[in-house]
Amino acid sequence: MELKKLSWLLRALLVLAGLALAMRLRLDLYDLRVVVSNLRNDPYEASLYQRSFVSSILLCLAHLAPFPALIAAWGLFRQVGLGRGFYQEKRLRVLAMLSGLETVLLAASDAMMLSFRTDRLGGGFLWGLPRMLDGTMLLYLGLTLGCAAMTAAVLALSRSAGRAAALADENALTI
Amino acid sequence: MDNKPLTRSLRALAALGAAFWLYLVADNTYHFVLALRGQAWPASYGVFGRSTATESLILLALVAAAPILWDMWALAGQCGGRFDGSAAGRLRRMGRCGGADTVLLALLVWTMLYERADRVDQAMSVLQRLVYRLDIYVMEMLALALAAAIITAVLFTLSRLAERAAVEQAVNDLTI
Repeated sequence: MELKKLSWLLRALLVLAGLALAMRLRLDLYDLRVVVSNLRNDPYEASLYQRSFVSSILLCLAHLAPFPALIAAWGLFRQVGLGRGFYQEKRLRVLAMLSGLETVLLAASDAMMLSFRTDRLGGGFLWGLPRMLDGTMLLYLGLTLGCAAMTAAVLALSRSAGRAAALADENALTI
Repeated sequence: MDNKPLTRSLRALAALGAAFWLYLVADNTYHFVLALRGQAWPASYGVFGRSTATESLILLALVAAAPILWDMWALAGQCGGRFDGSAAGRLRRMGRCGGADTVLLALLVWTMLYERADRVDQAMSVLQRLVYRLDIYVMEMLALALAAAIITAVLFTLSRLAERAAVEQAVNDLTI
């Protein structure tokens, strides 16, 4: 009973995360539209906090990439308490792969944002670094690092699930 | 079973969460001081402005979340270990902090909506006013409050499961 409740709660969390991501994606698409219209009017008028065309596209992709991961996690959370180690290992591996992809996309968009800011500030990368690391930049750097840590955690979990499945098979054979 | 990579990854997540928490506390303390001096957001940000009450609630919600990070660090260290009841206690304490956070965030949403009520055009219809008041900041806080409520329920369920596992393990030890 408790495990069933846990499974439902985790899936509710996934729905909420999906809604938040959809909201974020809508904002990103709006930003992309602004960037495109700015490029058409005056490419040099943009301020430090505006995004380049490439980093806007990368951010859109980065916010689109977690959706397959959410679907995979939904399947995983449905299995809470069912004890199917083999399926859990496979799903966890898919999740780790998707999370890795998200990390790469976020890292690429961070690099683009930093290079965009370097061009705007001038005076070299190192001297401009403290001014470049504003709230938005720190948030995205934190997200990238968080995603990397999450990928490592999910990979470790998939290995644990694999070992648990192997042990369960061995026990079944022994009995 | 070797669970060191999992422990390390979870601890990295907890450390990152703590760094982000510190950044948020610093940023919101700055806004709180501005609000106390009467230089808060309302003057320049129109409908998106925050009052001193909103700033204090944000700070309180952040402070209430601090023990969760500490307990998450400690729990990560117990990965792969035996259930001795302390994990259940930690999960319960995390659940209580999550509950306090949920209440504070719900209060915050209510305060933000109340603040916006005075600032919207009174000529609008009730539905129009509600849509206008539910801007991105309120929606963000609403989503956070809902997430906090679900996480609280998850933590309490996990604490009950951990408690049961600890009892079963103790019974097994006695039987052997």
